[in-house]
Amino acid sequence: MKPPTIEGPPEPGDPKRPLGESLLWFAALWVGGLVAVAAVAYALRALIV
Amino acid sequence: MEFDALLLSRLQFAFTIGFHIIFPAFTIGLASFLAVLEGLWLKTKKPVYRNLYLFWVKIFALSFGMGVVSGVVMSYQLGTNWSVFSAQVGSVIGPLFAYEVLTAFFLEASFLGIMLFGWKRVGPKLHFFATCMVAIGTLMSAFWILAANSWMQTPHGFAFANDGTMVATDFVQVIFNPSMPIRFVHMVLAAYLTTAMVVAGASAFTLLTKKAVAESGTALRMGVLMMAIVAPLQIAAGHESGKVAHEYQPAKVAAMEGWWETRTQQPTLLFGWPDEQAETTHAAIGIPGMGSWFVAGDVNAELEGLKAFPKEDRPPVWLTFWAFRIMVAMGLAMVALGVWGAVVWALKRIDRATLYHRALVLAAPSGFVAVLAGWISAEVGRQPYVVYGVLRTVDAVSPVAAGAVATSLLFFIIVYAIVFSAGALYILRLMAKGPETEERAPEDASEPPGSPLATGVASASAKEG
Repeated sequence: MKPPTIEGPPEPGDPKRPLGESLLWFAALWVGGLVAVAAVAYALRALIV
Repeated sequence: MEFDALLLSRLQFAFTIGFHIIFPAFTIGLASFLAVLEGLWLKTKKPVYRNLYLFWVKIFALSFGMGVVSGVVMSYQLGTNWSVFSAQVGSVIGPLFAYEVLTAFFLEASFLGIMLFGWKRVGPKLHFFATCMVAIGTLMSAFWILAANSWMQTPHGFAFANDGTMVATDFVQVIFNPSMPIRFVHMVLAAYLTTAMVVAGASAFTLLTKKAVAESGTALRMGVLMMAIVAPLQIAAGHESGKVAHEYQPAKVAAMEGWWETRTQQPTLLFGWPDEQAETTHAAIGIPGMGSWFVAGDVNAELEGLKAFPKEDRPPVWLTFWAFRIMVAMGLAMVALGVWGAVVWALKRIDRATLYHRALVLAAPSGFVAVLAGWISAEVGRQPYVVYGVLRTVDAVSPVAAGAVATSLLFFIIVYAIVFSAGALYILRLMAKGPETEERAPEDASEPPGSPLATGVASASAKEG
């Protein structure tokens, strides 16, 4: 079955990720979000400037 | 009425902001609701909170996306349709919009990725942090936008440069202009109330259709609690906002109230038909002295009517008057629903109060109606100025042809009708489906859904029946 697009919390039986790995994912997803927003913003700006 | 570039530009801005405002008004409250749900899940580990979170976060993501798309259009219009306004006041309120993007929009947009796609990857605590950041981001966004809009209502902390443009002399006064604090409170409470009405309405609908009873019952209680607390607070905040408006924009308040004559014991009109030609309000039914008491705290206070202002300085009266009444009527309806909800809750009948559930479904859009009506009364009441008392709307419009504005307006109407109707319908379908649940589906019509709460509710109903 296809996993849901919006991710739920870890299930009770899931192995716990090491803190460093969680933090890396946190940083990667945050930077990814930031870059996506910036890319759209600059693309829109390029349309009008 | 001539459909010139000015009127068409105003219609276009009103149309696009009317669509835009309903999304932030919903997502500001929904982001905080999600943070509360996740916090409760972290504390109690009850699946009901997780299921509700996963249900409402989908609706939040869709609404957030539609809010962003409709917001981009508005910023473009400041350049295309209101270029003189931008040139005149850009040095003052341009930075406020920039701060909104840099401190608020980037915060909510960048943490949204973790919120949607990172719960397993980053773990529950970091995910909760991201949800809180999104909630704080939406509130900060409201802060900056309300600072900019309130400055247009009560401009402070600026001066004119040699070239006639406005420049900020004190940014603290620009941001915390006289109407900003109470208008910010009024808007945030409106957003929380809008969300409470939608959450309660959607939950009442799923309870009526017997879906996800445990989740729907919990969300219904949260919505009713919010309604019962926030609706009366909102009435008080609106009252304070009215007092500030009267101090700085007395013509706006006179138009909202339908007052033409300057007199003591100004009434609060419950109904009336303002007539700008005849300078009177026909068929007025009001409570004498209540208007003076509301605004000045004294029934005998003398307050200005519209005739005290030159005709060219008066806002359109009919629209301001009726938009204000619709907003107040919606507010009072929400207070009544909050009280009704508190009573059925206290009587332990909240899960099976069918009539109340139907009323909540009917009232689900009331927050949006109130926000739109309030926005119309505030912005139409600000006319004929774009920056109150300083820059007239007629002097702020771009030197564009009416045909060009009519074309873009038509384009917006068609595109918005398609895009936002599709989005809104999808959201309504999601709401009708209800949250995912661990409840076992009933095997026959007489069997209640399988959660302990639902079973309890059904047993109680059976006993009463």
